Amino acid sequence: MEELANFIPALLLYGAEMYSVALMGLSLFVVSSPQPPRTAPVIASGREPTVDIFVPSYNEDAGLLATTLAAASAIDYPRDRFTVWLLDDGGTDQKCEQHDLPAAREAQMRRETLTELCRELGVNYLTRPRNEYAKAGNLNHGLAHSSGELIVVFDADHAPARSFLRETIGYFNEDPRLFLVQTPHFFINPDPVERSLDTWRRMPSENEMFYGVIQRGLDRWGGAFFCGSAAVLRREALRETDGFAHSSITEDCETALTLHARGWHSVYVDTPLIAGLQPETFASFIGQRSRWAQGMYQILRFHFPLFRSGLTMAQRICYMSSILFWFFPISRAIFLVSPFFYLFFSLEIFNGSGAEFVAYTAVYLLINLFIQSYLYGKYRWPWFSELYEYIQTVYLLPALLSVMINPKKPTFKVTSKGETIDENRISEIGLPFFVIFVIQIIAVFVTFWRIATEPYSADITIVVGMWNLLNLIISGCALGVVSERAAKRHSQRMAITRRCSLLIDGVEVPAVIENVSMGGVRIRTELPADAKARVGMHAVVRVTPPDACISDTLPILVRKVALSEGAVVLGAQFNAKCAAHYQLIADLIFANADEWKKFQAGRRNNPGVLRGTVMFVMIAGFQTLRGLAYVTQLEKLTRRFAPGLFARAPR
Amino acid sequence: MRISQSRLFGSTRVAASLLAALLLLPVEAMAQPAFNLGDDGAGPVGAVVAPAFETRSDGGAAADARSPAFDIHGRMGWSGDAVTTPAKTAPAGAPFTMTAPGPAGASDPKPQPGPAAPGYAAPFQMLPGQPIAAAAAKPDAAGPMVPDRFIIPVPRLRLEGESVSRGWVTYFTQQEAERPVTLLIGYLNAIYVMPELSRLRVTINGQFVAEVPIASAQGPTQVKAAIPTGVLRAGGNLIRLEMRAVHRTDCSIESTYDLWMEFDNALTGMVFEGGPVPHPTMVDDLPAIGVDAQGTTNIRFIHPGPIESHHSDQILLAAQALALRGRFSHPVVSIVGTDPGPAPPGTLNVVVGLPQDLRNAMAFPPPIATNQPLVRFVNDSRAGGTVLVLGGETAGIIEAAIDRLATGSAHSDDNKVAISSRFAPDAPFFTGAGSVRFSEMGVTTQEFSGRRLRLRFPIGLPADFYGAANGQARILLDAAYAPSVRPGSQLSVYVNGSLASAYMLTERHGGLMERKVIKVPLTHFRAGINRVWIEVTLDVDSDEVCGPGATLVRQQRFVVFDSSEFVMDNFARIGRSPGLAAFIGRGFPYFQSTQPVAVVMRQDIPTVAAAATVMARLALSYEGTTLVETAPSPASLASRPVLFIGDINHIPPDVLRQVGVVDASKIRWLAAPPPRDGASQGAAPTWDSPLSTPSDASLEANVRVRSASGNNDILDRWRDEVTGESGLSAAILRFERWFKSTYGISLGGSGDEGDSEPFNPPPNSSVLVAQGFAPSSNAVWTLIAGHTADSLDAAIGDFTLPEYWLKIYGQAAVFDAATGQVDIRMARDRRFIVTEPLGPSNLRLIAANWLSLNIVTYALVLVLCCIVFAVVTSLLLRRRPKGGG
Repeated sequence: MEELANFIPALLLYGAEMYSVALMGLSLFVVSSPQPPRTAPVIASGREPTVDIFVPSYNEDAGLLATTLAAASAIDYPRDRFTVWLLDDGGTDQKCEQHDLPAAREAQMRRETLTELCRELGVNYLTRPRNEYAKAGNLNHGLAHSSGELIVVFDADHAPARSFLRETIGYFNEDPRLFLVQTPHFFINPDPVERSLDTWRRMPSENEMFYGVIQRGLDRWGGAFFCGSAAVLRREALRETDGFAHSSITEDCETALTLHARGWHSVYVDTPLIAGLQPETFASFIGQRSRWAQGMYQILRFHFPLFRSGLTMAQRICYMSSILFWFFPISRAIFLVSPFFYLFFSLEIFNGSGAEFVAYTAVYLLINLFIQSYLYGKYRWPWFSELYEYIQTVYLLPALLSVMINPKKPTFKVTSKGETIDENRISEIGLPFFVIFVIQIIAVFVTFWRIATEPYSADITIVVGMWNLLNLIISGCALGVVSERAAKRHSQRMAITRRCSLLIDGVEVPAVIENVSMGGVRIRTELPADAKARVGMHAVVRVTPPDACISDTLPILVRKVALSEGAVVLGAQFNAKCAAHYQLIADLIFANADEWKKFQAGRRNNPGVLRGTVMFVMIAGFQTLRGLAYVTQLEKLTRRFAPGLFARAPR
Repeated sequence: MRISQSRLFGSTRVAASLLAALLLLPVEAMAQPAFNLGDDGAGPVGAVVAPAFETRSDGGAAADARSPAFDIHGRMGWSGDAVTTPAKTAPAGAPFTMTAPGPAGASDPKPQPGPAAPGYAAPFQMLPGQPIAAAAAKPDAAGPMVPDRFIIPVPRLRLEGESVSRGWVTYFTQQEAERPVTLLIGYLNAIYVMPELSRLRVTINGQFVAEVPIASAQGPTQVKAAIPTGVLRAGGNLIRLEMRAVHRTDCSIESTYDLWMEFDNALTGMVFEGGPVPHPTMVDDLPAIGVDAQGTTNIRFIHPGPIESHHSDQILLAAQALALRGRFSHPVVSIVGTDPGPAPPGTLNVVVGLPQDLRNAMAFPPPIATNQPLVRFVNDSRAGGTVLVLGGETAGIIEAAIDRLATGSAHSDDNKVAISSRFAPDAPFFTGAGSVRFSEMGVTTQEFSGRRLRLRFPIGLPADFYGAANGQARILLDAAYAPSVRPGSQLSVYVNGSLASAYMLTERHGGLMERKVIKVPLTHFRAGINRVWIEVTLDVDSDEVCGPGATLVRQQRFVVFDSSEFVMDNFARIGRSPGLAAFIGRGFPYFQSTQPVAVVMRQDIPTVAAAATVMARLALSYEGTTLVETAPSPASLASRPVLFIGDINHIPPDVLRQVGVVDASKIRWLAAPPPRDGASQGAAPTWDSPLSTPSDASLEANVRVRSASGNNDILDRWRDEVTGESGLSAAILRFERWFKSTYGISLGGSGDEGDSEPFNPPPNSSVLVAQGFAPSSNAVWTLIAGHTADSLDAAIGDFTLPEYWLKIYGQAAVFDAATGQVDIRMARDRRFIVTEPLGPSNLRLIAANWLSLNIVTYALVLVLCCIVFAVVTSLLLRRRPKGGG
């Protein structure tokens, strides 16, 4: 039509806008009527189906696995009706016999250690000859060596609550065509954003929007899908498809899609029944998201749900919504660079006056915010979706484009979890965010310059400038995200109250466990005058053990001693020596899923659009400064001279 | 949004021109008496001019800044290489003749030194210290010539701006075309026009005829140019005037409004060698009747004795047919007795009727064969020489005769409206989506070096056009502007005098626009002919400085290509009444009806003449004729479209009530409207002062929309003043005003601006037009009334001038012949009249337009739809799918 230079960016922008509108329409359909909470059907005693619990592992360390396996073994279910399997892909024959000798030795060691651990925990250890088809292949290998009617999959870091099977198995008896009961993933550590922004305790986690609203919405339309872990599946259904699908790198969703298309049903139970870990660093967070985005694109490419026969119309829309969401990097990137086209190159990709912008775009933005607040307000604060999408866009865009060019290429990469960050630092992949930020700052100056020198087009310049400013605020907040704080522990402490007795310094005193994390506990006690608690001291906690546990004592190492109101409060690290100890730890952390629910409910408050926006702008401002302080090394100085300045975000 | 923006620009522009007008006002007021206004073209007296300029220099800084033109040669001491001082080199008083300049001469851009026309003498001779009386002693020995044929088809032809052109088609007979012809041009121009560089170019049929320096600020000057043989053709000839004007001193955009030239109809025309060519004697030569010195074609029906209704039927029908066949630009009908005298130029004598009517009117009526319609020119002493006879043995045969006359003109192209005898070429006619290139509308590719360029073209729309609220047209512009053009220069599109769209030129280093889309909302479009113009105003740095001689620099700044297009999108089509625009523009709904038009009037000469003039104009608007019934049965009136014409006192009160006009007794007509100082009185046109500001903009401002009582403006003003002080209510009022002006939403609720109380025309009305419905049906009644039959007849000639005629819309309108003022009253209760099959797409467009007009309803409907949608959705969602998945 008009000049090509204007036309192409304008067309891209138009496409991005249309994508956003269309996706919003799909999302509205999906969440139009979320499934209300279900009550689990009671399983008649003696009619419990046999269950195989698979814990696939690739490279997770034994401690992490021990906790998960211990928790899995402690599940409240007739012991003879379920089997726990550790499906180890880190100790396969292929790994043990590889030419890299140190690595081969390590694999052999791993196999030995884990075999021993499993023996102690009463869990089956299973490995396979070759690492084919990654996680899906591993699970299928497990399927081939087991025979339970139902299959439960827990990721290596997903430790189940005791009630897991009681809450999920009943549905299978009710509906013979049911192939899946999915439960939410509840994380006991903050993701990189939450940690950097220090919002973990007050703001719902990112995935709560998915598990709190979207999965329930999908469930309403019969489209709840398998999320790879924390789910129960029916072997009969999996047999129809020769096990788990593996043409994409998101085998979970693909499997669900295939089975949905064959007329099987799914159920989603909105109760957190497992607790897991999220990626700790920004880099592994991005790695995980890249896998999801690429996998979803592969599903779109290989299965195209919209025309997939066997699915109901609603299911097709649901799957399209879930998959198309992952195209956000493209539209985000366009929204990000579009203002530059105008401000730097004067390309006329906007055809409208300032007033038109206010009338159409601003109204759309506002309505969008209001609708989001109405639908997801409890689960997602305003503007945080934009932040999450922006921080992913920078890396997901190339990932997405590469899978679009070569859909078969991506391979399954295991997300590393349980990493720690020892010192404050900029993420190793944080540089682009600073570059973008600088360009945006320049664009702000260009905006003012153009308003001053070209008053005749000031209205459009102001509009574009405002747009850029919005991008800048988000981008500034992202600087904080990639400026990672040091974290001492993997998982956050969960408040619990549990009586125990403490053996310390030769005496045994009654005590109360106040909170617990994956790594340790806080214990409040009153010590007699002759006993002293010191840092570095070994102690033992005695608790009422779960049924199958052979031990009731748990060794700990005192890390911190504090006095409060006459009582002694000890911060202690677990010092687990054997499987039984892990069973006790698992029991402490995972015995009661109600705590998790309470914790989540505590974060689920809707701040509203206005307050949420103000909060976001304040957080963004603070994070921008923090990010800049990190990058300029100023942060190290302030830590010396004004400790705590960048320690906590503003409330 | 765009509209509100446009309004903003519009108001600033108006404000700017107002300011300019105010600045000029004292100058003008003082300068005016200095000119001998009654002077009709003999050389002005220099002595009289001088005080005028002295007054000006006394006038203060503003006036001073404008006067250096007179100092250039005196003080600045220019060498005079490029610009020769005309006063020194010109053989004063020598007749200016253009003899056969070839195309090379035509393209020669070099200023021609020493242009001097008869009567061109004064300003440059007033060098300081010289005796000013010296120049006055050179009268034009020859005196102005009177043309044999007048050619200007409008009462006053005026070209304004830096680069303007206007073309029209004038018809000549074979005899005329064969004779050697001299073109006469009598004109006057604004004193600001710099004669050295300003030129008027005349082309006929695209061939160069003359190029004249524009140098007649003192009074009308006549220039003569022989038309090369072979240029004139029998039939239509496109005469085109192109004016390029340069301001003497000023470089501002405002100054371009000071540049104008106006033609003297009486001094402009064709002189045939050997005296006037006899009157046309063939029916096909009817268009060659031409115009008189007022741009009017007079159709004189020769009819002795009283008028019966069957006479008026025939006169009203014949007037339509003649107007169409003759393609007259402005036909005015009169009815005279026998022996009217020979027909002056631009006059057609007609006798129409049965054999006995012909016998009454003529000395030797031609024989009428049985059953044969008679359509022939004959020469008859009693009927004023050459006279067109339309006769037949019965009324039916006469109708056939007239019909034969009309069908001869059946124009070929349905996509055009024939207006070229006023403004060539014909207007494109859109009945839906379509596009037309600029080249087809007479807008040529042109490079422009000035400040303000105006490209005008007409657009014809059907009577049932109903897209003003949401329709859209686009201009796909091929143009470019030079790097010197500052960003912020503007391109505006005006429709019927209102700003419709504005586009800012934003590129810093010039720009090339290829099919640049400029959206033009159809808000100001109406049924019939619409006047559209694109105005480009160019800001250039050098104009800001405006150093000496800056206006001489002719660097191209803007170019527009004739490959540009005007694209009309589809619009809704449904007739609506009352709606005077459709009546005026396309004779709706009278001409579309299969029945003869019922015309109710008194059968007296002025009323019938006025009615015939109106019918002739309507026939031109519709481009067809319709049968007329002037004595309809009273019973049938309630159920058919009726046209009431006459003096207000003879209009039945219930007719007034139906068309929404107050009772005749309540109308305070002025006893005798003041005589109009213009063309209608037959007097020589009075010249504007060369110092005066232009009239084009003020012509547009001559339309105002008023309420029934006319009190609203006063009320608004008082409310402003009274509430201006108090805080809150003023704020609310301001908000309401802003809201209304921005979004067109009245907080009061009603979207329509009309009001229900009867319309009381102001005292100075000459013609009142009002439309309503018959008491118990949807038949449209239209009233055209004047104070008396004579005053109506006198005013109707001006009223039917397209300049005024096309401005009529709404439910009622009054026209003041003295000032040309048109007052509009908006319609309130409008009913739809289905004209086209209501297909789904048309229905959609109609609904869209209606909802755009009734925006509050639209909002309510939208909210209602949302609620219904929400309820339905939630009911549907409540039905759980079986089995939970």
